[in-house]
Amino acid sequence: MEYDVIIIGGGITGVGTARDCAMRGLKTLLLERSDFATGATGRNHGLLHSGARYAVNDPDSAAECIRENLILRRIASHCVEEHDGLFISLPEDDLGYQYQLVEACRSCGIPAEIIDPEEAKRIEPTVNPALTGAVRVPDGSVDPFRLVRANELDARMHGADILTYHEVTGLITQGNRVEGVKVRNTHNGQQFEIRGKITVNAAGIWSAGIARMAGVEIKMFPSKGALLIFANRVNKMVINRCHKAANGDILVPDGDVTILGSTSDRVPLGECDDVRVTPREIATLLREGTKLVPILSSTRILRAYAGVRPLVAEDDEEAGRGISRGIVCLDHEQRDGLAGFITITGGKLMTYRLMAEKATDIVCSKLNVKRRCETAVIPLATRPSTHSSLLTSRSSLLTPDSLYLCECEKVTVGEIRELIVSGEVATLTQLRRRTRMGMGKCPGRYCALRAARLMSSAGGKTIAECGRDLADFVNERWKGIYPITWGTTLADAQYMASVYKGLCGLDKIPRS
Amino acid sequence: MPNDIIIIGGGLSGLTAGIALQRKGRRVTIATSGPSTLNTFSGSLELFGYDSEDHPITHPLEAIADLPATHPYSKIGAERVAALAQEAQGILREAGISLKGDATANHWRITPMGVLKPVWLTLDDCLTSDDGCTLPSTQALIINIAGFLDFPIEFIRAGLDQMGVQTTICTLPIKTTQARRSSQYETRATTIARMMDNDETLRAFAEAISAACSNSSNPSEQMILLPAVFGLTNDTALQQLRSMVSHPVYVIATLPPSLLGVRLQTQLRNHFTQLGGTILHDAKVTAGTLRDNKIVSIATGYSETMEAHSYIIATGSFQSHGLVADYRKVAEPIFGLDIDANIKELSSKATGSFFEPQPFMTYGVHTDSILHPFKNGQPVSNLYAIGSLLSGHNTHHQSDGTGVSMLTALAVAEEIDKNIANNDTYSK
Repeated sequence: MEYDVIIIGGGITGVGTARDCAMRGLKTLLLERSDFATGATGRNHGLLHSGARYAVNDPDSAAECIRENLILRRIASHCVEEHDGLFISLPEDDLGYQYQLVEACRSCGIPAEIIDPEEAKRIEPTVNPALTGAVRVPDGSVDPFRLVRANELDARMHGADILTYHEVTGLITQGNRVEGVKVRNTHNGQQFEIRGKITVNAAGIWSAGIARMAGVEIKMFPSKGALLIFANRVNKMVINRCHKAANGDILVPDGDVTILGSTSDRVPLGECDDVRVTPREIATLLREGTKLVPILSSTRILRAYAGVRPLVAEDDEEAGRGISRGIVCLDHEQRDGLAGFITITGGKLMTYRLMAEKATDIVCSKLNVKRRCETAVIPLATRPSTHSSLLTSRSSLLTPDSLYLCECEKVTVGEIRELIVSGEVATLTQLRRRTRMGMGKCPGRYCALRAARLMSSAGGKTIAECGRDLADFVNERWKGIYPITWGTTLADAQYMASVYKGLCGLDKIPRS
Repeated sequence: MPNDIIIIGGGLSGLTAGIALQRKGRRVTIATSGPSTLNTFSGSLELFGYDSEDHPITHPLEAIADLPATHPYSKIGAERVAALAQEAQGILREAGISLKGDATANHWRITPMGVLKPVWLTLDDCLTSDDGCTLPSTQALIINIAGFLDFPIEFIRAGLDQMGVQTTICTLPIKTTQARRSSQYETRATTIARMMDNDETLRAFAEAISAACSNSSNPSEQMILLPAVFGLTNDTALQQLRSMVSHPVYVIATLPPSLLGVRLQTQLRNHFTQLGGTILHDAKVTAGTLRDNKIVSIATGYSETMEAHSYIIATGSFQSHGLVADYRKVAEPIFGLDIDANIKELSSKATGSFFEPQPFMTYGVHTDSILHPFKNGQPVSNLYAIGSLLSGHNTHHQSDGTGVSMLTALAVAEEIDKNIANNDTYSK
């Protein structure tokens, strides 16, 4: 069997490309070495950029952002919160930058309106009252987990095959052509080959490693960004600092929480698999974040996390200079004389659809497929389910399955059960990424133990496996908590330990 | 001066001290606010469960003798632990709490995840093992309540399997659940207990249990295991249920809120007030006035000030906000007492693995051998610290939290009583 296109990577770019390819009638396969959204896709601000942040320095990216912003509001309304954003100037900031920003926004097509600081305080009461200026722009927030899920479902509905926990171990090359991939099932270790006319490398920061399998060099610049989640929604709109992009200057509200970010530090490629937030990064974020909204200093921090931006250096540039945040789409036939291989990287969560379109356009031209891209006009799938709280409205009938298993994120027993029975998820952490279970505000995380029960009763796993899985889940949450050992975060950490260690004895269960 | 003693904190430790002092004829007021850690109570009190290598301890009194001098037990005197443990048992019995176990040898409780943990005393309701290998029966019917998510029967069954117990599991509805459930928020242990407080509901449930028993394959020897959802204020509901079911019935703790903890706290509070003690609810003590390293008065959030001969602080650890932390330091927020905490940098308060012992667990107020805390390097002469607020022990890894809470409370009560008796100038 041969696919038209094999896509490597289950981040937003990969699933977006799978959707586009499948909608254009291509026989499509997506391979992901672990689970969806485990790289930068699941570790960012969730900011629906207006583009204003890039307008002054990178007008092309800014123009892309505002176009995609408007498209996502249409096609992914169930993943987006439209609340606008402010760029605020503080006394130490040059107010001249504000005019520069507004001017740049207008020339990129981004609506940007200067508003009176008093008006800004009225519409956003928690903003630093010392602000000297404010600009209103069409920022919003987008839930990357929902967005990935919607693209994945949509791709499947259009016939794409999707394999998670399948790692690409090599590329099959014949002469100057990539003809498929060598794959390892990471659960059972089984290795096999899959043939495809075109292979699309959408592996994010891991793209360089994939390209190297074909003897092609891509200069990646892994840029680590750390973020903090606060347990309350302190602002109604996105609040940005009106100055040149710097650390901790964007505060994004989403649902019940607020996300502060980010930092930007180059890290070695080898560290990208396990990035951890340092106390210094947390201190930096808090120092800058409290300038935007002072009450952040006394707001409970839920977790810290970090992702790695898959930045790329332009081919004709020296290492370390001119790193672009724009889309990088490499046709390796043109660039390296290697046919059947395309890399799509760089870019942003915001522009994933455009990235997918660009990659799919090249795939189609090589396969001589004429069908045009429709991803900008056809809305993304919602899930045909009676239980899903994520992508459809819930049934109004109260049955045992309609009880909330995770009260914070309003995930029902039925939704979790359905996912487990379908065989789509094997671990609690996967359940979390698909449903947001356990991402909420409660310190108890009882939902994890409740779901572990279902893994056993509905998923047929042994209780020993479920116990180890629960231990992994709790430890994974701990990773985001332990760097913040102060304030209520520490109190909550101790409570979580009282439940799982003291009361339940999870620490006495043998671990793998 | 209406109070001999003011106790700040109404959890297990504060209530124990309050009861002990009322019994000695002292006038005690307890100021309490917020939930206590009894919210996660397992149904058992532990004295000392695991040694430094994480091995279970069988004879806690012997093991306590080897603890370092910084441990609260060592401060009150390892040799006093046996007598204080006896006294604690007496207080619990007087409060109407039926318990099994004693301090000479640990027995075992079965956790909601089916794990055995060594403990000192257990509420009579609960399933326990004397030797850590066997249970009262080798046949068990584990029953959950329909729609109750917080009783992990699958884990309990697996734990029992390992002990060679043959188990059957089933789920029974409560008649009133469906009618009452009007939201998607799950039913909690305390909510079910409120329903079970109704005689008819309880009788119907007992009948359903009996029917489930006769349906199961091995009825004669079977014990019935239920979630701890019976009896908000005493164990009458469970006694009634036991009288209506012909098999032995035991409960196992659920996820929080712990009904058994709510009940224990209620019984201790009732006992304390029956002895003449006063509880000020929702009274958060915010500050204290000190003169010559002696407390003159304390203030609550309502700007009231209160005075007493002696004061006890029993405000708990971080999760009870008895300790607070910012980036750089750990503090006791009411008096600013000196803290034992070794913080070299921000990240050293916790480690990257949840399952390792966490450094912050051993942080607490610094005390001398009679549990006087210090301020600016000097002991505060009429203040005593008890319970989880004390430094030098790790409740999660040593399983000594409830024992430390009760025994330090009793040791301090004795000390204060002696002081007041000796104090000639002090008149009632």
